[in-house]
Amino acid sequence: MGLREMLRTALTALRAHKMRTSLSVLGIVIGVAAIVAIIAIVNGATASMKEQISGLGMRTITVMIFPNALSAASSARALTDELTSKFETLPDVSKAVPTSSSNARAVINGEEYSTSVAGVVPEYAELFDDFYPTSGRFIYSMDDNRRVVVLGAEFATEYFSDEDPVGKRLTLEISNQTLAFTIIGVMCSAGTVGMQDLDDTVYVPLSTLQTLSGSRQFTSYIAQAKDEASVDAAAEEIEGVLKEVIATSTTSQSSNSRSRTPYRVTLQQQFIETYESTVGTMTLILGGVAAIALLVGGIGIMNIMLVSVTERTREIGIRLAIGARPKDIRTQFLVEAVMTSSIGGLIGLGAGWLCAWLGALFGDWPFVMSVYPALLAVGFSCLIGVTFGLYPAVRAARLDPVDALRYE
Amino acid sequence: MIELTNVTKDYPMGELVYHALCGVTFAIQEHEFVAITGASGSGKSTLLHILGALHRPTSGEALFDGENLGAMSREDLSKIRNQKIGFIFQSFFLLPRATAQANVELPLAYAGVPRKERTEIARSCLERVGLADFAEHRPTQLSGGQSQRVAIARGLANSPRLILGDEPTGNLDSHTTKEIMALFHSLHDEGRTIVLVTHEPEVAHVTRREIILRDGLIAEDKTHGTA
Repeated sequence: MGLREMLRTALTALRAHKMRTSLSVLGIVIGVAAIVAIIAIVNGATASMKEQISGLGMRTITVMIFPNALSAASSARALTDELTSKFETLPDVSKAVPTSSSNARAVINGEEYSTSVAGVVPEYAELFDDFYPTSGRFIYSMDDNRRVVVLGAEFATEYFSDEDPVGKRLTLEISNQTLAFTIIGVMCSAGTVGMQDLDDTVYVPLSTLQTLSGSRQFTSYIAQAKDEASVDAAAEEIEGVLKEVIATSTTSQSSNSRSRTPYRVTLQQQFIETYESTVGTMTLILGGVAAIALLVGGIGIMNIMLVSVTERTREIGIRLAIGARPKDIRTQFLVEAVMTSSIGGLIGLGAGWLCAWLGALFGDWPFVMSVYPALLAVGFSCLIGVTFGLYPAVRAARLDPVDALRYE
Repeated sequence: MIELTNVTKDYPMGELVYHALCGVTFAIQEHEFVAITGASGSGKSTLLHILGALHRPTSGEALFDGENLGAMSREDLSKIRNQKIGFIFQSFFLLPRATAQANVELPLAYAGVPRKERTEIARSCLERVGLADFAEHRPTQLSGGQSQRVAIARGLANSPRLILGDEPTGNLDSHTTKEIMALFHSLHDEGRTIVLVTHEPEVAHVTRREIILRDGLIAEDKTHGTA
């Protein structure tokens, strides 16, 4: 019997029990849809996350310096100046911009709102593509220690929706000190770059922030290597400087020193790797759950096929009597099982893509529709059909024609 | 064509063994018209299953065209059933969801006959049994006589040399029985070998040869003068 014949026979048999077939198909649909959606959503979210992380450029090196690096003798200010001048002389480092961030409360019309405040130097804006003031100006070097503030786009629209805030005053509470700042500029919207939400932040001069928060302040650097090839070398050079400078400044405080280094140097690539490994683990867990759903779907098919074989014992007897070979019977039931699971696989693929598309729509990341999950879904569902259809099919093929004909 | 030598068939019945055939020896020549009769439990169904390559004998030799059925694989037995034997059953055993045409095409499909040819052969077989107009009917839309004609058409599809009937008129009224028997006779006249298992004397008596079984043995093997 030819394959076309087999397919037609299977289709007729499946059509004869529409409800039953639909339910078995549904089991596979759920499993495949879950797998396809998970893969597509993870791909989309990863693509968008990578874009954000790499927005700073793959040359970027982030240096975090923890407060315990500071001794009584060296203020945050002095340490920053020393490090900045040393970083600038490094051969593989093209730029090293100090920055500091803190939580603050903004008081607007008597109401308090919490926000994040970044202490920056003029070069900070140059780290990002297309980050410029839409009104007023960014921090200049002449602003050192002045109480001026530049607003991120989202902050500005949220609290000064219909007016240009430049020239107005903003009351900020930083480290338990409430002070009035003059708004000197509003930045354009630049989204989230790296780990930094550029829009929902207010910017003050780094020196101002350091003075206000004193040695408790947590400082970091965003450095850039000359090119992508020299990232590792640049990171090593930076670490060398940190070791030297921070070691000398903490000797007087050795009793207080911990085994942990008071700084951390992170490459942009490492962020991506960390993110990918986290996502990988999650994908594995979710994929495992989806695989269980698929397994259950497969068991459903097996169950229905066993019922079907029993119900059609007479038919099997007739077929055998007129010359069907046992392997024809086996193929017939196997084709039926594979057809059920493949239909489920195809519908599941569509449903999974729909879920992924909706996820992309609401999650605001690109909808990644690749061939790979499609092949996986169809291949996997066929495999499920063969795996769970084989036993019922073999049982059908083993039936004795005479017994089968007599079966009531 | 068929040669049985001391054929026995045992069926296990729990702890016990039921001896359905206890040593049967006979031969059927090409172009014979034979009735196998006997009371129920005499072993006539078992004998039919062996003649029809549905079961292998427990012992003894069953030769079909010189080939030993007892030594064949299930696949090879299927091939014999498909190519050399046309089965006609008491309750017709048509596939209920398939049309008359599709039922007749089924043995051809298993024989690997191409689709177009299959359609033609099936149509001519239905014509042969007088049901050309009922090709698209399903078994539920056919009377008993018509169903049996479709079954006969199916039995003829691969042009087998042996037609094997298991109480083929058992579910039919006497008028239809006569029509079906006439059909068997004309098939016999065309050169086919026909073996019918029956307990109806009116069927047995119109055949040329009657083999009567009793308790798993041949009690009588007689030839009728007429028919």
